[in-house]
Amino acid sequence: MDERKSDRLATLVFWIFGALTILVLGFIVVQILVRGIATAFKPSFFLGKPEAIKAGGGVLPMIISTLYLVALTMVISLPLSVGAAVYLSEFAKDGLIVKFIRFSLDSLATLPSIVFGLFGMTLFCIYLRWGYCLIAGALTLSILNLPVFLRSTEEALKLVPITYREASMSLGASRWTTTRKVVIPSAMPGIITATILPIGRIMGESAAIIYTTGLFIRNIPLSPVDTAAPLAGYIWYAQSEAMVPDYKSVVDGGAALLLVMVLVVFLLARYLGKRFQNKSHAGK
Amino acid sequence: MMEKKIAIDSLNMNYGSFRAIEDVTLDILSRHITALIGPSGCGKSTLIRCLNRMNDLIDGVRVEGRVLLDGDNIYEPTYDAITLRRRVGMVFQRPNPFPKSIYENVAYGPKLTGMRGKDELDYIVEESLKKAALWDEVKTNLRESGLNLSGGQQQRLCIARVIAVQPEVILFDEPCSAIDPVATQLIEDLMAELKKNYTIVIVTHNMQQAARISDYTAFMLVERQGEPGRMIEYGDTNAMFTNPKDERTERYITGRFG
Amino acid sequence: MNVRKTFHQNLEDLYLELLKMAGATVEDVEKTRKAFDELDAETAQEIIEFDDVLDDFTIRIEENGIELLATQAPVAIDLRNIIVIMRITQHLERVGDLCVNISKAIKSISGKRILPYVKEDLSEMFSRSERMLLRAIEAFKKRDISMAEGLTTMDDAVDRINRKFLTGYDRESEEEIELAIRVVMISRFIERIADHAVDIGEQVQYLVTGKFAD
Repeated sequence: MDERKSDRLATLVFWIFGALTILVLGFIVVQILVRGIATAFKPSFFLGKPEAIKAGGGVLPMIISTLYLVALTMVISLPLSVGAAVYLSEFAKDGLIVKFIRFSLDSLATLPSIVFGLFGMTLFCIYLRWGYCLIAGALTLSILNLPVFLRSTEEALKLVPITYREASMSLGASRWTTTRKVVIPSAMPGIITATILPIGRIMGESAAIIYTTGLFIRNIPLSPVDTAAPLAGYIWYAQSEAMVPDYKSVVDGGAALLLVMVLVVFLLARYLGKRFQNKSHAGK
Repeated sequence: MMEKKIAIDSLNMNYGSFRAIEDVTLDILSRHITALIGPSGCGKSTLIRCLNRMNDLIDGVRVEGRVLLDGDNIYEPTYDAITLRRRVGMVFQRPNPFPKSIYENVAYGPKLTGMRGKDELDYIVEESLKKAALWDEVKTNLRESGLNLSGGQQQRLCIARVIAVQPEVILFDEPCSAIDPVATQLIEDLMAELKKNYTIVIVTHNMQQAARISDYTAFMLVERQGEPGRMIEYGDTNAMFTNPKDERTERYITGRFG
Repeated sequence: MNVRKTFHQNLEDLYLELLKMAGATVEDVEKTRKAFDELDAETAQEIIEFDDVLDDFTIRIEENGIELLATQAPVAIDLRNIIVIMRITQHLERVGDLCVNISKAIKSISGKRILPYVKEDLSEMFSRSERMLLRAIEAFKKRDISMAEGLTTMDDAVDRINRKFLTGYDRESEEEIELAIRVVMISRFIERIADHAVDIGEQVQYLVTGKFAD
């Protein structure tokens, strides 16, 4: 086969692979939207309270739970992972401790999320007697997402050229000042993108929260120690355990709603990331 | 007039078990330009980075011997590297302005020392940019990002950033290797101006540049692969380029080995 | 590894060109001596015409030398080499000019009788100068300073003979006086050939030591 033909063939094969990926993704998205979009945007659904045994319940407390959970998780895991990433990439000297930390993180990243759920339940809900509550779920999700957060924050920090650090140090800045005034600001767009993207995963996570946060509530959770029912968990609950006759439409509507929420977050992440990038390039 | 600013005394420098430079002894005279030349890997960049302890940033670096700045050994454990770097500034191989505005780039150093007053900062930014021969080109767009400047302008911005800290010595580590010939000429002119007030050490792979701008030249060489870099010859630049004393210097500067 | 091969090849070519010119100049001097021995106007004319050849050499070597200086920015031994080659070229060219001057003098006194001891002395000066020139070129080729330094002592002998010619002629006869002046001039020209040989020796010193002779 001559060079040109083989090149064309390869292009075609890879095009098919690419198209397949998009097709599968598109199929899922379209399926979910077609089935659920009508229910999802019915005010009685997304603004209503859930029903325990009769049809026509809404999911407002679940939406609030999800957002609350995401916010709490971010508040807990952002400082933790950025701090740890800064330590690993800026301060730690390559040695046994760093190797151990990395090994632990890699192991953590491979565990299935249900393990985190069971661990969170054992530690927070049972041992610490907190019961099902938002904070238990948020802590569990923080641990679950720590490896991802940390790794992507570290990548963002590593993308800051070493020459910036050298320039700052050579002007008589300490390592900490250099990190604070040069490295973190330069890495900010990356850090933002890196931290917002896992929000989608937090929103969609169910296994880690069904044993820690709660599955069903009727009222909007107010305090972090309240029991809550994030959308993803509720969908699972409605599908497998609920006694409402219209559970099918609750599941479909919930799924469509969740998908839309994740999509919005994704777009927001991209927008914010870009805006920060422009800002840092344009100076003050 | 011919006072010693820096005295390097029997300096060895090791990366882990690898010795990069060995037994370098060299006096750097105040308000003169001293050039370090030699083939790639001869340790000239390593040596210049010993003078403001930039090598400290690399794990596993060990320095033996002394480097005296105005008579004080900068490798004494009690010597503060941060104070040292404010006295001995550095311009790097590639222009490396921060992704901040031109103004913020120059004001970075003074702000580190706690300078906050707007008038004070404005003054020092303007003065530093003038001394770096960049003021006229940027005075109307100080708020623009330093990254939008051309390579040569960026390098002069970096020089202004160093000047703003009011150092006594400025180290240039191959400052023109990434910029075009015209910009190079500008920076060479600038150095000739700067040496009136600062002690300058420059590492350059461009021998003609060393010949053009420096007062003293030191030639370093790794004689056999795996050996450390050593100082082969040090002396007056004119003498070095018309009639070097050491045959190895002659062979190198005439291009009889690369 | 030589990283400037082309340049060093050009420099070598320049050097070889100079050696060719040196050879031609030495031959020129020798021919002039023979023309003087026989007061041969015809040979003298040939010598006058040969000067163009030496001038061409000079122009070529200087042009190439300047080009290398301008484009190659030579340093150290390379720089000194080019400088010295260009200077020696000029000395050789001057030697050629002196041969022309001598030849013109030969033409105007051909057929006249020169006192035998005067002729002997001039021949002596000629051969000494010729030897000095050869020695200077040899010293340059070998980069031998002691060989170059010996030229000064050799020059003293030539100078001594040169100073003798102002005496010994009949100052009454106009013809005699004119002849005397020509002879003195020839002697002076030969003496200056020897001086150029000494100068070439000094260039060798600079080439080797990087210091100018005083």
